[in-house]
This record gives sequence, C-alpha cells and structure tokens, in this order.
Amino acid sequence: MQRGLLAAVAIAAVSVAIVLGVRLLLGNIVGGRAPMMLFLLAVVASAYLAGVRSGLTAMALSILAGTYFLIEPVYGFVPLQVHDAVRLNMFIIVGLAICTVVGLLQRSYTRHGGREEGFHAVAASFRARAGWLAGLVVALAAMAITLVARLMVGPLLDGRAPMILLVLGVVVSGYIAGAKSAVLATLLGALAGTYFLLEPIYRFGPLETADTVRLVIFAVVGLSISGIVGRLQQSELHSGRMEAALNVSAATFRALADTIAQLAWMADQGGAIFWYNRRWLEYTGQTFVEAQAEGWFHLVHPGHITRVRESLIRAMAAGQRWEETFPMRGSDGSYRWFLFQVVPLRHEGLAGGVAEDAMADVATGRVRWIATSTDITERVEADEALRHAMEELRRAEEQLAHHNELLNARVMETRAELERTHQALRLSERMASLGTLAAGLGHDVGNLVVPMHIWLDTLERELSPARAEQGEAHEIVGLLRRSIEYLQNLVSGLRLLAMDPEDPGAADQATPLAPWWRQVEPLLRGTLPPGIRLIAEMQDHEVAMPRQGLTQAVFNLVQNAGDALGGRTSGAVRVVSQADGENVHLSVADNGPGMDPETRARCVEPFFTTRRRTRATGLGLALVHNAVMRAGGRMEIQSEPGLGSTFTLVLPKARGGFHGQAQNATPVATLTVRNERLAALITTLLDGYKVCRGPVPAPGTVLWIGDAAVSADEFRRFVSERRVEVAPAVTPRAIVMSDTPLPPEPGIVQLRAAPSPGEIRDAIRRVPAGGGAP
Amino acid sequence: MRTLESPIRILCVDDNEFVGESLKRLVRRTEGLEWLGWLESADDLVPTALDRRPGIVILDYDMPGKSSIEAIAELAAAAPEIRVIVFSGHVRPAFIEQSLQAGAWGYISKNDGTEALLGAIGAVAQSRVALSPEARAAFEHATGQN
Repeated sequence: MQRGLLAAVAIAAVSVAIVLGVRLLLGNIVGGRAPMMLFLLAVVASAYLAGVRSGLTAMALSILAGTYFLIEPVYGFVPLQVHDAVRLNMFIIVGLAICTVVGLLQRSYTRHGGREEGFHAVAASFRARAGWLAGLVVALAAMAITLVARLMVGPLLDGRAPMILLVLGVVVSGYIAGAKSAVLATLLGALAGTYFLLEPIYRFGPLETADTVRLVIFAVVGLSISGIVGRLQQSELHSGRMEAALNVSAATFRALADTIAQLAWMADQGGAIFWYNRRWLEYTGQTFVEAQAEGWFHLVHPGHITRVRESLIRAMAAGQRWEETFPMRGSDGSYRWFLFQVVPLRHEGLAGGVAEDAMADVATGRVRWIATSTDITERVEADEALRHAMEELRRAEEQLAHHNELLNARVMETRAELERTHQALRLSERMASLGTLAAGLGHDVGNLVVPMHIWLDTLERELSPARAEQGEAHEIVGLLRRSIEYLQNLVSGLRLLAMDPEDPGAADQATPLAPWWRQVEPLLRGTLPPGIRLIAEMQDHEVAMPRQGLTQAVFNLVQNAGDALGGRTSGAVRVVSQADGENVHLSVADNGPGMDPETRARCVEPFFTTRRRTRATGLGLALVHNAVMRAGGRMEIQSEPGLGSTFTLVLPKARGGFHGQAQNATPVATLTVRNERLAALITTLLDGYKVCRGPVPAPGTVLWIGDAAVSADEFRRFVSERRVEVAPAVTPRAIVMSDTPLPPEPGIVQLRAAPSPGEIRDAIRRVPAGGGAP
Repeated sequence: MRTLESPIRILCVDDNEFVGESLKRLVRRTEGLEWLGWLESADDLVPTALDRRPGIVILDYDMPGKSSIEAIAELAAAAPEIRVIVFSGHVRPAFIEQSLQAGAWGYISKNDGTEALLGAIGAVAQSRVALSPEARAAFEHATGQN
C-alpha cells in the first residue's frame, strides 16, 4: 500500500517534471506564456500508469508548477490575474475529468468487466453498440458545448479563449463514444480552436508561431487522451469478456461437478475444504456447513482411518498426487468402497507430476487440491467374489485331484476285487447248480428209498427165517438195505455240500459228529482217487458249526488230501476227532508229499493254488478257513516235505440248546393249554422235558406254559415263589400265550394267543431247559 | 386226551406211484392200520376225506396241483378230527413251519424211513405232534427267520 502510494507520487513527479521541462523549452516560442495544457499530458500519463491517485498528484504538482510560471512567466513572482485564475480552474476541471474517466475505466477493468451501474454502464453499453457516426455526433456535441463555453469565457481572458477547455470535450466524447470519437473531437477542437486562434475576437488572421505551438500541443494532448482512453476501454472490454467466459466456465464446472458419478471436493493449499459437490453431500448426508465443520475422516472405516489420514497428509505436504482405496460410511450407516484420488491443481492446470515443479508450486503457494472418489464397491465385491471363486476352484481342483487318486486306487482295488468276485461267482454258480441238482436228486431218491425199504420188508416177511436154503436171500436183503442207506447218505452228503454255508438261518446250528459222518462219508469217499483209503476215527462229539459248513470244510480238506496223494497206489486219508475241554479237534491228515514252508504259509490265501487253474480255483482252503473262523474256531496246519500234511479244525463244542439240559434230572414243564393240537405241538417241541398237563404247575416245574386261562398274577407268583421250591441254581420261567399285554416281568415271556410253531420254538429256546442262571 | 379209534384209517396223497403202492403194502401188513386208498394230488383231498373219513392223511409236500399247505388248511377247517402227517423228501425249516402252522400233526422225512412214519402214525393217533429225527433237527436248529 505504502509502496503503491510512493510509486504513484514518483510517477506523477517525473511526468510533471518532464512536462515542465518541455514547457520551459516552449515558453519562448509561445511568447513567454507557456501553455498550461501541456500539464494535462502529465496528468493523463500518471493516471494511466499509476492510477487516479497518481493523476491527482500530477495535477496538484502541475498547478504548483503552472501557477508559479503563470504568476511570473519570466520567472518572476506577480499576483494572479483574473484570466490566470480562470485558466487555472479550467485546468482543474479538465484534469479532474481526465482523472475521473481514467479512474472509472481502470476500476471497471479491475472489477472484471463492465458491470458498472449508472452512467458508466450506460456509456459502456453505448460504446459497445455505437458506430462511427454516433462517435462523430458525440464528438460534435461535446466540442460544440466546450466551444460555446470557451466563447463565453473568452472575454474574461482578454479575448484569448483557452484551448484547454476543448480538451474537456475530447475527454468526454472519448469516454462516451470511444477513442475514435475522441480523435474526431480532437480534430474538431483543432479546427474550432484554430479559427478562434486566428481571430480571437472572432476574426480571421494568419497563424502566429505561438498559436501553432499551442495547436500542436492541443493535438498531442488530445491524441494522447484518445489513445489512453481507447486503450483502457479495450482492456475493460477484454476483461469483461474474460469475466463472462470465466463465469460460464465456473457455472459449467459446477454443473459438471454436480452431475458426475464421483464424489468430489476442493481444498485450499492448507487442506481446508471450501467446496463439495452435490453427490458428496447426498452420499454422506452432510450439509455443506456440517461438512465444513466435521471434515470427512470420521466417515472412513475405522480399520483404514489411520492409514488414510497419514498417507494423505504426507502426500499433501509433498504436493503429490494421492490415491487410496477404502470404505467410507454413507448417510444410511453402511460402508461402500471408494477409490479416492486427490490431485494438486495449479493455475496453469493440473500438475504434470514432476516433483520439483510440485514442490515449487507448494513453495509459491499456488496449489489447490481437488479430490474425487469413485464408488468401486461393486468392483471390490466382484473382485472379492472372483477371488473367493478362484479359491473355491483351487480347492475343488485339489479335492478333485485327491479324489482322482483315491478313485484310481479304488478302481485298481475294485478291478482286483472284481476278478476275485468273478472267480467266486463261478464257484458259487457251480455250487448253486449242484445244490439244485442235489435237492432234486434227494427228493427223487427219497421217493425211491421208501418204497424199496417197504418192498424189502415185504420180501423179508415172505422169507421164512427158519429155512437154511433161504440164508443167501436174507443176506441179499441185508446187502440191499445197506446199499440203499449208502445211496441215501450219498445224496444227503451231496445236499449238505451244496447248501449255502453262510445261510444265516444255520448260523447257530450244531452238528453231532457221528451221525454227520455217517451221512457224508460216502460222498467223501467218492472224491478220493482209486486206491486211496479213507480212515475215520469219529467220536460222538457235537460241534458248534452248521452241518453244511462243516461238510464243505471237510470235503475240501479230503479232496485236497486226495489230490496230494494223486498217482500213488497206497495212500491214506485219516479223519480223526478228539476233544479237549472246550474244543473239538477234527483233523484231516494225508501221507502225501507235504508242503514246503512257502506253500504252507500261503496256502490259505484266496486264489493260491499249486494245481492247474482248470482243476482248481485256489479258493478251497480260503473257504475252509473262513467257515471255521465264522464258527468261532481256527485251522492249524502241520506239514513237512515228505511227511504229509495235517489240517486240524479246532471247533468249539456245542453248548446249551435242546441238547444241553442239566444232566442230573429231567426238568419238569407244565402245560396249561386248552387247545389240544397246540398242546401236542408244544409237548413235541419241549424235547428234554418231562411234560405235565394241568391247571397248576406240577411239583418241580421249572417252565410253565399257559394260555389266557391263567391269570398274570398266577404266573408272577409262580416265577417269584417257585425259586424256593426248586433247586437253588434254577430260576423258574413262564411262557404266557395271551393277546392281553402284560407288563414286562423277569422270567416271563409273552406270546400271541395263537403263536406260530417257530414263535413257540424260539420262546422255549429263550428259557433254557434246566433253568437259567438266577 | 382224545385218541383215534382202532384201526386207524389211512388215506395217502403222493404223486409218486411207487410211494403210493409201497405205502399200501406197509399199511396193509401193519396191525391196527386200515388202508383207505391213494390220491395222486391234493386237488380232491377234502371231498374224498369227507367221504371216506380217514383218521390220518399221509400227505406229500411237493406235488403238482393244489399246494399241500392249502390242502392242510382246508381239511383242518372242514374236518379238524382228520389229522395230517406230511411225508416229504424235502426237509426245510420253512416247510415244516408252514405245515404245522396250517394244521399238520406231523412232519416226517422220507429219509428217516418207514419206522419213523409208523411211529408218527402211532403218536398222532394218540394226539401227539410228531417230527421225524431229520425234521426235528432242521426245525429246532432253525431261527425265527425261516
């Protein structure tokens, strides 16, 4: 401010000094009366260069300088005369007019654009629209007015009307109608002035030198004013256009910024935000005032806020572009992901990114910041979904690979299993066919055996036992009977061999060895090659293994022994049973070549065989092993090369059941059953019991079977009180046949009123004869 | 306990003529038994039995025509005093169970021979249910699933 004033004064002083010098030089030419008008040059120049204040200063200095020289044109002091005072006033008027016009135009320029109100606006509007003719008219009018004023003032100035007043016309016409009008006014002023110079008292005469100088001075001053005013007006016009363009730009920017999908704000160099776009305010739910007061960091997701704040501060301090991705809270409280970009904005446009330039801009304080945030939630979610999907895919691929490996292994296993199953199936098909054959054969043989026995009985009856000549006939009948029995046994053995060894119905069956052996011996004997003897030492043990399973096991062992002895003329297969405590040892021994250790170790493996595949499946010993294991037993193998082989089945003895009654005394069962046939059936099924019938249990009864005629209380009393009566280790039991449900009671089994034979059998089985443990 | 009158009147049903013919001889020469005749199938068993009034019917299990189980049930319903003994070459627990359930008084395996059959006739005549050794073994060792 101080500097500005000083400069204004300095420029004014210099201008005035220059003009004073010129004036002094011209003083002699114009007859000692140096023209005051020349000072107007200093005024207009100062005002133009340094503003209105400088112009006014130049005017004041000009008055001082001019007055001195007016007072004493030849550098002497004399009191002011009237015409000098008039001239001084005219100078002041013209000077003030110049300062006013220049000031108006300059102020209008600095305020960007001709938006002045009142007369200045009217003048500016007129200038903008007026043509050359309008400028002429204005110039004529202005000069006419000032000429009239000059003529009126003329008498006061000794008939020498001052030209300076005409400058006022130039200034006014220039201001109103532009530079061209001012030039026209200058020309008109020169003409009018010349005329009156030629004849100050309205006469025409030749121009004197002083008059010519004055005329030139006027022209110079007029043209200077025209030039300066014109220049200022052009600047004003230009700045007006700039302002208008800027306004349009700003409006366009605001519209654009409010329309874009991004959220945006602008901040000054210090980071203080001074503008938010509409989207920002809509998304955050903030008003502009709230946004100004609260800022936006608190909207950043708590997990990101520290990182975002620190990196943004760092980037702004360095004047560098900043970019981050983070979630920001919206007005509904939910977070969405935004790509945030903050870029420094400079006067020449967006920063190019050169760090040195940016630093320089920061240093000179010319940076603003513009921020945009783009909602990328969907992209982030899509990325996340993609990442998740890729992860799933990777896992799925791993699992697939794993499953493939398993599958391959499984396929290999299955293929091997299939091969084994195929072999087993062929075997089982053979066995099934054999079973069907054996069943049919058994039926037919049975149908023949019965008649043959009857016929033999008849024949024997016809033969008299006393007659000696009939001895051979008796013998033949006996042989026929044995032959028939042998045939029967052969068929029975065949049927046992063909029965399903894994029949669940046979699982808990026991086999008495002696009768079983009689049944299967013909079959086994038939499997041996000619010349091989079958020797049996069979005790009357009962083993806990179903007959068919036992038959098949021993059949395989005997068959293997026969094969081992194949080609020999004197071999023997010995089948022996021995008992030791819990087990029965049933051994099949041959005196064949025996097995080497490797064969012995592998002989029970499925599909292992030392014979040709066409003759053997390699399943025989495996089946034996499995059947014995199922029965709870085991197989022992003894074999030495040259010493033969012995396969011993160690089988558990049968226990309990119908044949395992207490050895001491026959237990007593009482039947209280009204249905005669049902009672008869139960009696038959109560094998091993002494069966009594009556309404109450007979003495010593351990099992009471009754129907609905017996009350539940009677049964309960029986099972609870009889304990005392019978032997200490025996618990009395009852089987109740009634459709009325009874509450569960230890020792009492309930059946339907009309049970099936199988249900009766199973119920008796559940109450072991001889009583159970208490 | 009701027993059958003596002689015991026997009717035989078997599709095998050897069996029929031989049983005729067996019955005829056995004291206390009376032979009523022989049918090839069970189709006409009920009317024939109602007509001839046998004490015991010896019935094959497996025959063409009407099933023996059906015939047993029909006869038991029509004339419960006539008692049926199944005489069969098939010894399977299920057959025994079905026969007894239908109303048979005995199940004799043909493998057990004529003595077993004669014994069964005597037992049934005295109102006992008869199972031949092979049939008993098969039935008693079976489980409830048969």
